[in-house]
Amino acid sequence: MTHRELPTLVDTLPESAIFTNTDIMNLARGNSVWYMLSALACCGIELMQAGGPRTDLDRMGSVFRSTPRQSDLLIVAGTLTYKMASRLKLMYDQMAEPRYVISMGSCANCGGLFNLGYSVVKGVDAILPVDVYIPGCPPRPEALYEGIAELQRKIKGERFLVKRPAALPPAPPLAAAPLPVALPPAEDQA
Amino acid sequence: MSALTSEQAAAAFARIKAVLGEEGITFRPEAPQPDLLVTPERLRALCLALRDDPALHFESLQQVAGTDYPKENRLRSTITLCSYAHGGRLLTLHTDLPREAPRVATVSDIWPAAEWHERESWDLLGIVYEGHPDLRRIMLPDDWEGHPLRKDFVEKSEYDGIPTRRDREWLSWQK
Repeated sequence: MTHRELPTLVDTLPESAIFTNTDIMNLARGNSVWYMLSALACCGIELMQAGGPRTDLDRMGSVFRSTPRQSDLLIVAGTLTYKMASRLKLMYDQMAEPRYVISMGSCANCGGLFNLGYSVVKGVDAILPVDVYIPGCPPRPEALYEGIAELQRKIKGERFLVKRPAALPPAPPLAAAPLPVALPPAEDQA
Repeated sequence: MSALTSEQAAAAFARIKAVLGEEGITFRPEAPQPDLLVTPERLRALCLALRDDPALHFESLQQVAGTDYPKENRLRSTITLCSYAHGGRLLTLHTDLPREAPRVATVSDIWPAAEWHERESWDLLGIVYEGHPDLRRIMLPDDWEGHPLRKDFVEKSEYDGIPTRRDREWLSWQK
């Protein structure tokens, strides 16, 4: 019984193909999305599970990194409080561009169950530009897997060598914000 | 752990009356579980007696909680004690405080476990524990304004530049 010969990558290519730098770079970038651990709540358990043997994000080229310096992707897994928001923003700012954000679970998407609470940010997109939203409370590892696949699709469609716009446009003024209190005029120093 | 039975409560209350008298202490044997209502002035004396008297010997503090009753214009600080020496029996103390100036003496030097609980009660309800070694916020950020578990707490329009609005209309870059 002979060993069945598997086609190699070169065999699957057409006879003549044109690859641009963008295609090659996107192939490399899309298949090595390293994500940073930022498990804020119970979604973090599913995030750990997604890295485990059953879903196994490693086979997509996604491995976890413990430092923002080596990460391409920030998976915000869980409830983000106002107290944590500045810390998360600091971690995001330490990541090298190009960088991506996945908002995982209802709490990260919109505050979720704690939307009426006084201490929870009503959506991570208030402070970070989010690329992929994953619904669920918490999402199953398969859902996170699909979210990363969606992000890979997005990365592979990008034109990396073209200058990207600013990460976050300035927030519009709030309609409901109170007017700043006018200070009384300074008294003359006679 | 379990609450005092009515016989145990009767014995414990009789012991407290013998040691401290009844001034400032309301004994409530038939509440959902037996407990004590004590004035803020008598709280420390009662706590010391409950801890040090060998017949009572509540050597462990389980929790310090707070409740807001805006209609009755009071805040209530609740202490739950446990006596492992007497089979894990639980006793609850309530202290009613005026809502405008809720000040009560700390018990964190009697039971060190109370320290963080009292910080939490200060953080969320604004109850001031006099004599506490380190009374600052424990849950919320240090620059938070107000005490959010009070019923009349009004949320600010933003915190640290992050809007607190629930609608998502202001996220214009989503469109």
